[in-house]
Amino acid sequence: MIAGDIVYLRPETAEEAVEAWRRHEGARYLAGGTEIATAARRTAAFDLRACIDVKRIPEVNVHEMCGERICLGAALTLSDVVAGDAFPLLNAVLRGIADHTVRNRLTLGGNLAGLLPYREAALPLLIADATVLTLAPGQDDAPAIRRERRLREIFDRRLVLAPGELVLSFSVPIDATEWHWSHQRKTRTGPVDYPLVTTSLVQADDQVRFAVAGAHPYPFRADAIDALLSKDGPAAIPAVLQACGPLRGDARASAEYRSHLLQHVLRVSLEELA
Amino acid sequence: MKEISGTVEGVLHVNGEERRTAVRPGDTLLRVLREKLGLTGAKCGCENGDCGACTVLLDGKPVKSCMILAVECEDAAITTIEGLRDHPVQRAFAEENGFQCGFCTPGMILNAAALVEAHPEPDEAVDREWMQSNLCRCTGYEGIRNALAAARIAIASDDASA
Repeated sequence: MIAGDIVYLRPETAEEAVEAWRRHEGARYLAGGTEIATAARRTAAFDLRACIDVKRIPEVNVHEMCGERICLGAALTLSDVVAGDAFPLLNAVLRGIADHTVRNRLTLGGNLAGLLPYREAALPLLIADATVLTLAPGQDDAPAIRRERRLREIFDRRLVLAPGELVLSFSVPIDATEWHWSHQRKTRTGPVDYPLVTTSLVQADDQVRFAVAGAHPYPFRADAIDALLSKDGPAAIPAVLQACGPLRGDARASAEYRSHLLQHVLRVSLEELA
Repeated sequence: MKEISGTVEGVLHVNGEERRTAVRPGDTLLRVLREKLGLTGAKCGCENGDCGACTVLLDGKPVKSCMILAVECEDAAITTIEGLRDHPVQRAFAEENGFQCGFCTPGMILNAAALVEAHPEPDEAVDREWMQSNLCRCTGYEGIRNALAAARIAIASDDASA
């Protein structure tokens, strides 16, 4: 139960949702709600005065081919995306997040825009050079602004959005679904746990692309690392570790242990792709 | 656009019945089921989405009711453990000792019922993936696993004799 009084709004269109955000101070968009319901219940520091339930907006539920791209609505649950079976690497990554029952509610957009640092769904989307369609409130009485941008342009440790900007969908080139891929995920306890290190690696034509989460307090992909792995394969692993910079150390695992795991999963992934 | 604030009369479709009750937008489905509708089968464990004791079926899918606002569930078919009547999974849990203290059992049974419905054929990987959503603090997992297998056999046998 959320102790404070909140307003619940259920818009029918994305434009209505953005307009509702303008009208209600302290509003947040609600889709799966797995983070909002728990965070708002646990701490008054989580400012929540209105929930804008976007689940019934058709645009955020698309799961279809758009020309040569696959469009995935931001409010699709992780289970919906997996069942759609459109992007094998994305499916493999999503099946590692939380547990099956939570994945029946947790949404693709929520995983990327949430407060937790892992945001594992970002890995395949960054690797595939996905685009993101958003709708942001206009200034004053100006109409809302619809924009489609590369995820890499608006993902700096997390999704960098304008106040009130609503993520509508992600779009992935169809070629990306055919790349050879490897996904590794290491946790401290069992499969239902936050990742110490989780990686995605693909062979895209003559280029290796790599992304990692858990090792840093944010998902990480760098062109310099892709270039190293593409050029030297397993021999580049020491240089890759150097390029990754300082790794995260916390109660779950030391930075040294994460470095060891990263080295190991990189080797395994490169062997799988060889 | 629908807008709800304060306390309003909400309508929930629970176990095949239309139930009317006073709800606030901040009320979770778990709290409304237990405290407003008297359906105490869904248990209040961690209230953090970790333990699965509060699992209910929402349009046939197992979900954690502690992470869902009741106002989100209008028009959805909600099934709690009280809505399962002599289900093969319930019988199998009883016969195979698929519980010890019983606190996790309603959530386990609902998740298992949805699992055998979606996957009538046993698949160890799928079973693990689904059932990892629920924790049994008594660690009675072997009995739960046996109950799952027994339920599938019972359902297949019921289907064959139907």
